[in-house]
Amino acid sequence: MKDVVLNTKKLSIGYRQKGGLKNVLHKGLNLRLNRGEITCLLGPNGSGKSTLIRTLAGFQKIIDGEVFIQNTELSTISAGESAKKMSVVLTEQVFVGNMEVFDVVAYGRSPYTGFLGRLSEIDTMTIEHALRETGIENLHNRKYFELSDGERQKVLIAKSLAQETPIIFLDEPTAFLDFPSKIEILQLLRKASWEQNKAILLSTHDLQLAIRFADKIWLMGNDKAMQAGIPEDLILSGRFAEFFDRDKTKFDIASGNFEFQAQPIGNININGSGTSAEWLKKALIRKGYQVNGIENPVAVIDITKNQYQITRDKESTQAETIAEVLEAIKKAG
Amino acid sequence: MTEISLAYQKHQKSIAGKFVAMGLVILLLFILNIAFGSVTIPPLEILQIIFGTGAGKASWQGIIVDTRFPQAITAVLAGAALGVSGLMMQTLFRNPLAGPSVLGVSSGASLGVALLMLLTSVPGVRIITQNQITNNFSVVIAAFAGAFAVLVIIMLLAAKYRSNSTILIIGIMLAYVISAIVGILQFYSLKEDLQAFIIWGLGSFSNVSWQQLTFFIPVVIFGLGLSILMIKPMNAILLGDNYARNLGFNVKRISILLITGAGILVAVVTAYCGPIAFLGIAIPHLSRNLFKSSDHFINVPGTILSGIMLALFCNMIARLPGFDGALPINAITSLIGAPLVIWIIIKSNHYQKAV
Repeated sequence: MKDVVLNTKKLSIGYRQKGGLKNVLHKGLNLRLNRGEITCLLGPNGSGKSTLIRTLAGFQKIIDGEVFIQNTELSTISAGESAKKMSVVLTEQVFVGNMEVFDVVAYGRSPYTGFLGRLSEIDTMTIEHALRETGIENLHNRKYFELSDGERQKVLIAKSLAQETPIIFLDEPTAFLDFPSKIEILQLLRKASWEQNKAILLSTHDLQLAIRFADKIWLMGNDKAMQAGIPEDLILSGRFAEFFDRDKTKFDIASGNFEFQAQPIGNININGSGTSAEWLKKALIRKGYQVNGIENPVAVIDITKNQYQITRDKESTQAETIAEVLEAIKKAG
Repeated sequence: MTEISLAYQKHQKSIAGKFVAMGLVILLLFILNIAFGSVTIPPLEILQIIFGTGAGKASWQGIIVDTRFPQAITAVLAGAALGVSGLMMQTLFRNPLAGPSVLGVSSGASLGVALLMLLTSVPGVRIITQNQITNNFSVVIAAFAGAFAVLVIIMLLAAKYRSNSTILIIGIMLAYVISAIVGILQFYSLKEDLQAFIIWGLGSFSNVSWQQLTFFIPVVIFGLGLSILMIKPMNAILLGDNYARNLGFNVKRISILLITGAGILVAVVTAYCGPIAFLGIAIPHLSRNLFKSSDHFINVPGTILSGIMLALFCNMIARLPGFDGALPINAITSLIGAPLVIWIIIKSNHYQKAV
């Protein structure tokens, strides 16, 4: 069962400038967010990712068109109601002073508490559940400002979970995090979306991670119409390449990676297979060589057990490590 | 009951305990405020006067009932009001150095009083005479009008410009402009009027009569009541404007209510007591430091209690036996308040996060 929780009709996003001028970044957007799915918003800087999230979350005025949250038009939803529909994790730094992790997560309960903001037993249980879901229950009485970036991000995600909204928006939640923390954050978001049936929209620059974790991808570019679909289809149809290719970088459809293109300084053939062959290939490409290309090879490397044999101008040298291989090629060149 | 919710409950109990302890300290300070003064009255006599069983000397009765009681109550009101206004401003501007004097509200009150006292000293246009000034209700009106004029300007700017730091800087600049105008007024005014203005500027808790308290008390209670209604919104804006908006709060309305509330409290205190230095900045820090929390559910009552405590303490020091008569309250609040702020900021070395 895939139910739509958010959809847009001919939405235009952008900024209103002085004198009534409108700086429209994208128009005619018909988008859909489904429950139980992670959607990753990808695109270069300045393509309007934050603007889209800010518009959908109601922080920024809609330039044209409509946004529907569970079939209700966004502007007709009261602030209190919308707080129970959508929650956000933003890029802006949070300075809450002397607040403990529990208190920050408790912010998520504000739409449900009375005028003094006191927590009921249900609120406390929901907060505890959010702390467990994000794996930070042992941090509950730590001061927020003492935490690492990754931990802080988890606290804010826990806040969003405590808010119990069907939709969660996250603006670059993995920026500034180390690689394992990025994976952790995406894993817990995927868990939340799958197990708690939430629609999650996050913007990110981590292309590879988006391909691995996203159920849907929205591609945004400068002066290009937005594209949406599942990652694999977008790659195969060449959309990814279209959005991310630059002069010096090419998106490789086969590997789903970026290749840094430069005029190769020569072709080298590798005879052999297995892990060492793969890594040797990477090392040579990094040094600017083409591997197993069509040109006449400047050198041939045979991989035998634990050894590399480099043949160049009918001279042969042996090498134990890839470093020695690179050294030998450099000397000969 | 899990470990986390138990820890939460225990935490709340320890806070309640601190409130009770502060209440007892306040009671003690209040009694000491009644007991100390330039005239020494035996403790037994004081108790008899308080419980209405008559006094040894009629003049003692007068000193306790008409001088020391109103003065202690004024200190209580001023401390609570200045503390809460400081808390509101520090939270709104997310700046630990925000306070009543920073936004230009105190200066506005000064300008009002200066216009009343000094402009009238131009020969021929004198409206009120010297001895009318010190105890006149018109000073209160003038201070209130001046404070509110500045406040309205700040509020209009707040509605137009969203950036709190912009408003804070405008407030500080406004304060400079106003003190320059006050300086010019002082330059052209008569010696006696200038003296009266300077004495008002030194601040005092002792110029409020029972009759004036009947206006002072309800206004302060109104301001404090507003601060209690703002507990949840103040917590929300601590998280940031966009987060607060997402949680269903109307950030603009919160800003306007906080500026109004803080303004009313500062205006009324400045009107009756003169511009009191440093209490507004120091008290919220004292509370946050005592409770090790930024939660306004704790800090609004915490600030009220800390404010009463600090103001009564300052008032007591100013009137300790040996200081013939009484020292100007502003000297004491500065001498105690400024080092207190420095100490708290050095101690909590993450001062930018101290709000």
